[in-house]
Amino acid sequence: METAMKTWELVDPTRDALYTYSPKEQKTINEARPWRTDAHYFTSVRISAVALLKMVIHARSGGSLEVMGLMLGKIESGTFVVTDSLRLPVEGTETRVNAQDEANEYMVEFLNRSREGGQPENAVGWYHSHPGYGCWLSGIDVGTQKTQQLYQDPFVAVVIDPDRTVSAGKVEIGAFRTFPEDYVKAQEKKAGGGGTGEDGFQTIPLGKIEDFGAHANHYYALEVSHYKSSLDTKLLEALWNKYWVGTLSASPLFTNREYGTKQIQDLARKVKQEERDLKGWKGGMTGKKGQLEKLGSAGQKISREEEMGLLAAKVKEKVFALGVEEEAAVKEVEMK
Amino acid sequence: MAADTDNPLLSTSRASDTTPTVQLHPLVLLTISDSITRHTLRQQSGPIAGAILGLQNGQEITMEVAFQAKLRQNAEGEVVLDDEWFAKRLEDFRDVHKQPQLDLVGWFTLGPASGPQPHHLPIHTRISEVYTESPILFLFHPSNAQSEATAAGKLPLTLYESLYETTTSGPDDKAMDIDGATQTKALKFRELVYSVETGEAEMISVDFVARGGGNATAVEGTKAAAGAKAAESSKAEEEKAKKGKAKAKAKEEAIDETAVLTGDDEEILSTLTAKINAIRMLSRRLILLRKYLASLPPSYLSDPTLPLTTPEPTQTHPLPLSHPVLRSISATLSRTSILTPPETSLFTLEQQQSASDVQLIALLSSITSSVGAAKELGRKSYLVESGKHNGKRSIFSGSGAGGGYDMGPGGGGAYFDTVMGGAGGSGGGLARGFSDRFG
Repeated sequence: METAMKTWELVDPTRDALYTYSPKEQKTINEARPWRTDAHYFTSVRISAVALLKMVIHARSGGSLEVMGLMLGKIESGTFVVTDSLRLPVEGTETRVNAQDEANEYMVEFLNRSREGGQPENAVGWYHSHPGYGCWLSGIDVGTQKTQQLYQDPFVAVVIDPDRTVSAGKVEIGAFRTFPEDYVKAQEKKAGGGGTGEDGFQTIPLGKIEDFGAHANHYYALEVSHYKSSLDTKLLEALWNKYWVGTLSASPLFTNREYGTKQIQDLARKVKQEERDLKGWKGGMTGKKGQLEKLGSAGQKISREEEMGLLAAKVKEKVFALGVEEEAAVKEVEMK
Repeated sequence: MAADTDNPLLSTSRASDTTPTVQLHPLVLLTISDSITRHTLRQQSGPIAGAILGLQNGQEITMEVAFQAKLRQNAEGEVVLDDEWFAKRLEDFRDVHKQPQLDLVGWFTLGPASGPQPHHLPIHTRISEVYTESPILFLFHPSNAQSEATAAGKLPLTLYESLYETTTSGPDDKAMDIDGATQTKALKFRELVYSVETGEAEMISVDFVARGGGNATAVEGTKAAAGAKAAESSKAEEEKAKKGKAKAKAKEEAIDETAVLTGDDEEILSTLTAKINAIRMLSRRLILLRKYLASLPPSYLSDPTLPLTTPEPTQTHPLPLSHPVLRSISATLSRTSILTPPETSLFTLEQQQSASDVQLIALLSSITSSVGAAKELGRKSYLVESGKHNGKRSIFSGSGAGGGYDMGPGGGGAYFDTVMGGAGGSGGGLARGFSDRFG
């Protein structure tokens, strides 16, 4: 069919190489299993545009409930390449350790059908959302991931925070792999508990901090980057012409009100707790080292996000003057 | 708007009140593009087609999710859906899109810009028989994807709704209902107007993906390994420095901090850049409109001597006058004045309130950081003073008891013991160096 020939012009075999799939190659990699010997073998994750979009939309659609799903893809020397994602019909992974059992039937059937439909990729990981409390692995997550790495390796865990994504205006996503038990024990002996926790500068709500701290040295983070095809690039350029309206008319101050309030409340609680701890005689030097600094930077992060929201509102004021409703002035006229 | 009469499948009637309005989400477009790239690069055979799910609320239809479908050839050699596979796959998707419940609203395939082709009919009729009465046909035009029009913003796709029209018979036929005989109706397609809508999370991720460089070249083995080794060796270095050279580590950390700060500044930078781009688009559009208006030939409105008819394009004013365009322009302008809030005072009050809220938060955050810094200052000066007065041994014992926040010894120097007394090591590795050595 002539359309088949036309599509060849749309793809670029070198620049779109990640879209190919060679079952033989995957099999050889799977049999070699270099990740068995090297706990840090995987260093990065590349996610396709479609997969990323689907996952973020799914995470956001859950509201304040955690959602989860599976990622399909392939392996390429130390990198997970995620080509597609699918939702799983379960909610709230934090409280239900056996969520995966219920989803299993759905997963198996879905993957079978995908294979029949021309998508032979295997599952290479799972993703779930942490609405409002950051990208890291909780105790249950660590347990789940460890099991997955035992039976389904190679497997990666991805976490998305939809609230922070919308508030900060950029995608908040993290990818992790857990260490095998003996590796963790060896690490602990060596550095005396000096595992690199993955908190960076993100605020973790009070209720979750113990969970975070207890497991922080059982896993490490992988570098996340995304990729898109040349056709995607062209379409996205065209799309920008349609959604610049949304960018200009967004009102982050209103959309993120609840999230911002929650963050501030949490910070206040942490400050109070810090005060209590330090008034007493406990809280030795080694314990809360840097805690106040973290609180300071958390406060800065919140204020920065709020400032960005205010910037958006100010820009609108300046551009449209008189404080006129932005939707009116931004109405697009379809040019023929 | 007039349909291409060369394609017999296109309807010649104009849009009516029952024409649906369609809101297209970028995910659908990217899914289709992904299917095309994969299908082509993996050299899979057969045409590309799939289903589109969305919400149908009367005449308003949204297209939110899509998936590629498995096709097969039936006995007549036509390309049709693999029904069993399709039904189950549709159920899979309906299971996970429950709030709100999405359903099949249309299907997509590739085709030329001239419109639907006869080989598209079997699938279309099948879907309308089984799933939804009038599925929307999303036709993607691969030949247009490379064109300039796409670069300028026109998406290489057309949406068609299907309707049954009485076949235009020959002139001898009376085209009246004959009792007992069924009237032949042919399937025709009519082009639909659509708009692109996004949810907020969708918009952010589309923006993110569009902006980020990532092209899909294969991962290089050696580079990745080298990268991993570099990361590991720097980690090891950090640990060594921690134990031995506290100051060196302090420097590293100080550098890290500034690096992190600029990272956050970058956030603000990128939002501002996005806004600038959006404003530029707006200004370009407005300039375009003004140019168009300025270039129209003069009409009787400005010059009463001219005749009452629509002026024709001349040499100096080459653009034809288009009434619909002018109507939309004037509609926009009148809308602007309507949407001004009647009481600007309340509006400005609200604006100022939000602004002051944000400033308040900024103040709070800087207070928190200052308190931390002040506490650190107090601790340092306490240590320095104890060092000065008591000599080396006392420093060890003094700090052994958790230096800096006992009420007891000395109380010399200005140290803040009331609210924050502990060892929050803010603002500087030097303090950490001290605590490492004495703590």
